[in-house]
This record gives sequence, C-alpha cells and structure tokens, in this order.
Amino acid sequence: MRKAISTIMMALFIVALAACATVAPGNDPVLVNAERNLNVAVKSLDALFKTDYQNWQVIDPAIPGWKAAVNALRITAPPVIDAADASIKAYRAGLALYRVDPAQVTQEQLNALATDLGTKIVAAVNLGKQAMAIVGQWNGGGK
Amino acid sequence: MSTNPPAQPAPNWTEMWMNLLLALAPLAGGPYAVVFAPLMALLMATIDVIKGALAQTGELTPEEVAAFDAWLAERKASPEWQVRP
Repeated sequence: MRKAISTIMMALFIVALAACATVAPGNDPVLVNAERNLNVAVKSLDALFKTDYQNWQVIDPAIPGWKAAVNALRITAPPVIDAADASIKAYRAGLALYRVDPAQVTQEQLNALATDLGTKIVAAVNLGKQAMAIVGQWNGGGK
Repeated sequence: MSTNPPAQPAPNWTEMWMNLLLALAPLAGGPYAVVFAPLMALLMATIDVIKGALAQTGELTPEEVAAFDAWLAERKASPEWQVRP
C-alpha cells in the first residue's frame, strides 16, 4: 500500500514537472500543438489497448462494460486518427508553401487548413478522453 | 508562418490523468489490487507519453514524421488494436 502510494506521488510529481509545454521560437504553434495532441491521444489509446490485450482475463470480470468500451474504441479510433494525421500533413504542406512564397498559399488558405486541422484534432483528443473515461469508470466494484 | 492561427484545442492531459491517479489511489491496498496493478501500469505508461509529448517544442522533422507514421501503421496492424472476440 505504502509503495503504491509512493508510486502515485512520484507520478504526480513527474506530471506536474511536465506541465509546462512551450513552442520554440520560429515554430508554428498550430502545427506543434496538433502534432503534440495527436501524439498523446494515439499513444494513450495504444496504452489502453495494450493493457486490455495483456490483462483482460483479470479486468473483464472486475469491470462491467470494459470489453465493450475498449472494443468500441478499437473500431472508432483508426479512421479518426487517420483523418487527423492527414489533416496535419495537409497543413504542414500548406505551411511549407506559405513560407516559401505567400502568393502560393495565402494566410486565409492557411487558416482554413488550420480550422480543419483543429476539428480533426478535437475528434482525436476526444478519443483519448474516452480512453481515460474507461479507466475512470472503475470504482472498486462499487464497494 | 501562421501569424493569426485559429483557436486550437487545448486539452489538459495533465489534469485529467492526475485526477485519475488520485481516484485510483484508494484501491492500491484493497482486495482489488489485482486490477489496480494493470490500471496503474496503464496510467504510468500514459504519463510517460505525456512527458514525451510535452518535451516537443518544435515541429517534427521529416524523419520524425516518417517514424511516427511507421509506428502508427505497425500499431494499427498489431493484435492489440484488433477487436477482441
């Protein structure tokens, strides 16, 4: 018990230290934030899927609805992730053209790409939140 | 460079996972330790992900983009990502 709590406290400390995300000068904040958020969302999902795959014999009996919730994410996640990734690529390509010659891609066109990117990233982030919610539904079996 | 970018989503991953850690803490010593262990491992793995992501302060290089795409393709094809019967 004491060891587990120590682990939790250490984790909280590490997370608190990591809370200061910045964007280095000269980098596009839209692109950096999108890459960051997609990375966290996808890897959170990956961690959930791995945990389920390796521990389902233990978790399934203890958490009602776990299997259905995780399987639902396995179905919905890939196309959402692909759409977000494609949108990042489109924005990155537009940004590269804009940097070389703003006549080729205007600021308005770049903003339109960013708006689409924001929508797709929100969808991916919501999947990461769902992964968290699946874990959060565990309340000790209601006891 | 985008000088006036539209608003981006700003999920507070740190706060969300912190809340989960605190919620799970009372389970550590109870009869549910067998379930606590894998869920705790999941949280720790995700914290590592968050740490790594927050360390990114610049745009990904072409090599990093290619590496991410290759990793993503491998993960999506892995048995872990397939619907479990």
